[in-house]
Amino acid sequence: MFGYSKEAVRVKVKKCEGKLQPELRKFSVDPQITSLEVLQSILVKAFDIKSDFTLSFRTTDDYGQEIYLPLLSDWDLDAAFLKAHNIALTQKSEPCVQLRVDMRPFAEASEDWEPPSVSPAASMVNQSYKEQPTIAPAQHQTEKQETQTGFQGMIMNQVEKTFNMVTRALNLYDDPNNAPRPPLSDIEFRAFLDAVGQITNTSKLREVIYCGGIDPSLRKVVWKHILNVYPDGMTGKERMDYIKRKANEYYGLRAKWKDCIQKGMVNADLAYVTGMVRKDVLRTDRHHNFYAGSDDNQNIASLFNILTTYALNHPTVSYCQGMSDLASPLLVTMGDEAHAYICLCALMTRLYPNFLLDGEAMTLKFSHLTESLQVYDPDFYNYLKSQQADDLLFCYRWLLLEMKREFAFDDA
Amino acid sequence: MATAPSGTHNFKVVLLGEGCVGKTSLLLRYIEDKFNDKHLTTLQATFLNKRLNINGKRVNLSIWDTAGQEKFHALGPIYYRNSNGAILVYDITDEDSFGKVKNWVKELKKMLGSDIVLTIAGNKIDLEHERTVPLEEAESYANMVGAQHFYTSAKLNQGVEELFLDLTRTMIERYEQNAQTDVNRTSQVVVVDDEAPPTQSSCCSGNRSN
Repeated sequence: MFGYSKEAVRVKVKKCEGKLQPELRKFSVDPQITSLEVLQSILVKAFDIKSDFTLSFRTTDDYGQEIYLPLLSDWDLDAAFLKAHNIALTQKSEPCVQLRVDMRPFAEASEDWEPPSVSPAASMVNQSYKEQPTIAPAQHQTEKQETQTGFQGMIMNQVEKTFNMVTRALNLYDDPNNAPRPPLSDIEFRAFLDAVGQITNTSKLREVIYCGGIDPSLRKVVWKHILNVYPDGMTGKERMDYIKRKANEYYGLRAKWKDCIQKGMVNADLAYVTGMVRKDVLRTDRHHNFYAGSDDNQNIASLFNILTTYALNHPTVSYCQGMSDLASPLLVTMGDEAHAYICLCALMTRLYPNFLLDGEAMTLKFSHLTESLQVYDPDFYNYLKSQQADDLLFCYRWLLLEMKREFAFDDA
Repeated sequence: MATAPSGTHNFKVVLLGEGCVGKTSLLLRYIEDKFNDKHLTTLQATFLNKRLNINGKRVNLSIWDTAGQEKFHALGPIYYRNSNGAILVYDITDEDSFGKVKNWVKELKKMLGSDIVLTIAGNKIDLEHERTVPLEEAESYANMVGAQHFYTSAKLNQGVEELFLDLTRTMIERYEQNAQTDVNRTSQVVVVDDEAPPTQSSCCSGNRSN
């Protein structure tokens, strides 16, 4: 896209650390082969830096004011080089990039997808508020350098924008300036139960959870309700019997294929399923304490049993990558293999079309996403289109797993 | 994608192969010199960039990592179209994964003809004692379809650098040959791939480096 007439670009760097006198360094780099990583290592050597630092580059805003924009990626660096190049062209001078090194990190700027550990909905909103200040300068930047800024930077900013917009849209019930309601608590949940433990107002219960999430200690119980594990109108006693019966059914189904393996009667299907599942459970959420440690962790074996049993008893779906991601938090939360299996079956009743080979469900979800985007942020949509990214395939995983991987484990 | 001045080659490379053969691991080893045997399954394609200088020629590789499992096969064409090179990865301890390589070769040959440089990687040679794909079979197959064959271990960092380097060299050669025939026949063999990549990877793949 852009051709640089000059191979070398001069770099002037100012290092600022608290009240100390700024240090200055000058050198030249070849913009074609200098990545952010390379530049950082040069700076570390040049100033003998031993701690974290942030990098920004000097430019001017629309009013001619000098400002420093954060330099966080190769895209930003390309933008900085290009800016220098353009200035050099107009002023007929040597291209020069002016950088500033600050000896302190951006507060939480790098971990943007790790929300604080509050309930899901709450954290979404907190996060969007928290992000505002760090994102603002970057947006500023895109507006100014529309044609020049890196594609990725553009996407990230726009995704944030859209995300904030959607978050606000979701909270239309409440005053958008207020924090959402607190998570569903034990006392509140009990209020939804009548004397025999029937749920009195399912839709209100869902609304409350939708707006505030569930207290983590209650998830084990309440998830079963919102996943539609139980048929409607059951009393507490009936539910206990029901889940016991279902659990026994599960043990029966599990014993069936386990017997086959023990007797050496492994058909192609069983071999295929166990092979696929084994590969995946060994690398599912292993950073989480529950699945950490050696590969013979009992919880990994449980996850394997759940997925294998599911695949063999749902041959049209079988096993597909991504399902281990869905089963994993269920097992962590339930702490019981059979209960987790029952929950997975309930969850998959809604999500199995995502995993079918025909891909129709995913196609439909993409078309919904496309339509929403066209309505909520037509500018961004048109931009993606101009970059041939309007297929939105970069959202595939979001849709497939309903954001499970995009948030911290406990919040997803 | 920013720069494409004359003299810089922009190549798109796609990693294909069965699930869990080590596509992501090869890429992470190559780009970041890291290895993690517990990273998550790849569910959607992501890409990383690598800038190289080979004999004074600047090369910018955009390497696309794809999801391996059959379910995601249909997404393949989106990622291999316009590719200059493909790395077909199999696991030397898994015969099925080698069969999958053969399928990919067939598909790529059919869709892209000889416009794409093929390289086959037999990964996980740290598990040599568990090998089930015979050495000769893999090499003679690669020979037959005109692909280079490499043995790699992302875990032990063996053969990875060589693989990417050889592929890049071959892509440069192929490009220059085509440019030559271009001049001779003034036909329109356009291999220059300086358009923006079709999609951008998601937020989770933001840690690209070179």
